[in-house]
Amino acid sequence: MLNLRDLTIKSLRDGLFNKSFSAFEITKSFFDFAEEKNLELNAFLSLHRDQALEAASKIDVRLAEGDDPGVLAGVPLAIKDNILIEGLPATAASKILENYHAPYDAEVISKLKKHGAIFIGKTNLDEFAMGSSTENSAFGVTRNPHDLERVAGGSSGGSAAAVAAHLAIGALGTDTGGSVREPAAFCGVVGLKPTYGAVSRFGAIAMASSLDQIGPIAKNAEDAAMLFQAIAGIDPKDSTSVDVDYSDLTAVPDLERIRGLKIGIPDEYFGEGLDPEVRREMEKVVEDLKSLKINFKNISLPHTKYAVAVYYLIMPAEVSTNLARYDGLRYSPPPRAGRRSLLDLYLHNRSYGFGPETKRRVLLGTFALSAGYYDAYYLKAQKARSLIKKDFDEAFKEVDVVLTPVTPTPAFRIGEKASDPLQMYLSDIFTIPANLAGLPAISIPARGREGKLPIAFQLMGKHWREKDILDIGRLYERL
Amino acid sequence: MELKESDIRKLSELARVSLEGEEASLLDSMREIIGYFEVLNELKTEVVEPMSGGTSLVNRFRDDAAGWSYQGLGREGFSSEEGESLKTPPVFGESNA
Repeated sequence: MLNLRDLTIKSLRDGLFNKSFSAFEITKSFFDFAEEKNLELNAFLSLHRDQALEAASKIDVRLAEGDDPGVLAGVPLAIKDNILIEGLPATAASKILENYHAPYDAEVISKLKKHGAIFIGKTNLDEFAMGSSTENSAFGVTRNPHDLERVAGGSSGGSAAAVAAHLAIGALGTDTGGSVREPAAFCGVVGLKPTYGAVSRFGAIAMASSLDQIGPIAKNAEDAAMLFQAIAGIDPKDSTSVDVDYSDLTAVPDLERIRGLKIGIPDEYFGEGLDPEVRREMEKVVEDLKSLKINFKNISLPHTKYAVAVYYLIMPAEVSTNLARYDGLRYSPPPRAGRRSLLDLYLHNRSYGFGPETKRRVLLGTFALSAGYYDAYYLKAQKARSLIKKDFDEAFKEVDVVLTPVTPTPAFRIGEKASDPLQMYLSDIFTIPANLAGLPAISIPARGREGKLPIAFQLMGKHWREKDILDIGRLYERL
Repeated sequence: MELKESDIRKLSELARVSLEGEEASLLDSMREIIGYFEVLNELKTEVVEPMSGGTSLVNRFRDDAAGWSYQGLGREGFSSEEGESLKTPPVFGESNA
């Protein structure tokens, strides 16, 4: 029996090329395990055995012919259900898209297919990626593999749980305010939010377009680097994507180069509300990195306390706009009898198709954009966003990377914050700033927490400097 | 500002979402959340430029050239076709699809 636990992208590739196993065997093993384990976790909303085994067989044929099917040949991946794969469901965990099947591939999926990746299934999320716990899914909560009574985080909770529980080797999530990093932190895996513009969003179901990025979730920083390199790049179909040279991303990290960098510790991320255990772990992480002779400096990001308010104005405004397109006519038809007019039908369908949190955010966004409140709320938030970005511009004159916790606490209990949306929003305080400023940021599990709830630290880098944060992560993992 | 139930009804109409018995709980949570936004009033922003996107990119255009398009994809999701048109179930009345 193959030990799925030990497999990384690199070791799977080695095994395939030295014929220890075939892509078909690996894929089948993952399904045998995932189909049973998913009953407990609800990480996947749909599993696609036939398509995956067919793709794996094609990889085996190419290998047998001496061909190289790509850097991700045979790698079983889990894909968040707001990213389109041709022919497969894409519900965004919403009833309003319950019967939608994607007619084309997202750009990231086209790229992963070219690199030989295999798709195990589509993973659970908070409806339209709105939430921090996957409790807002229309199709049930995802459970944390480390403690089934706790949340896996969100919104990419299914993707993080699938990787943590070895139902896939890697995954894709989307990150608008922390939706890759927070579930990665709660589940003890690595999650990368790339620089805004590094990855094409074509074929990702839009939530808040000035913030959304697709990012990888992986077992370690090296795998995250490989997945990120595979999906990055300019795409004419996404005019916010940018041409950046990431060719050196997966090279072995150069410790001497990293010693030349300086890591900033912002006071504002270590104040009241930080769980004492998280604080202790952060101190240990800093000591570990100092043992590599990496330099640190205390810095200030003075507008941090405004980030949650800024985010929860700008994001719902964009959400209310992006979700205006859903009329519920095609993919989730509720009973239509008795509807008097088109308006009546829209009101009814959207009420039936959207869950409570989605409705709240659509209403908040409508409020923030309405005449009379626009200047006082939305415009004010956009200006405060400039100040938050300026904080980082100033900090990055003195340091190269910023280190913080990812979350104020480890994974909370299912239901614990579900009835208090503001408390749930406030738990995003450490991840939101990177989205507002468009920065790359990674969540890396603190070492030595076997048997305990995972805790993670975050590294935020300068624009387009994913390599700095990935390399520090890789060096830390080797300690 | 203090949000009223009539505001919630007006917003739900503008947002095209009918609320069926959810007004009271939405009113409570939205009051609390909008109250929290007041923290932004501490900031002096008269001379600050608003940030409207994730990057400083400005108008990027692609060539206006014909190429492969997605037209025609998704047809299998429709129950029937007539000529070059796709037929959908009736919008009003019971669906037959």
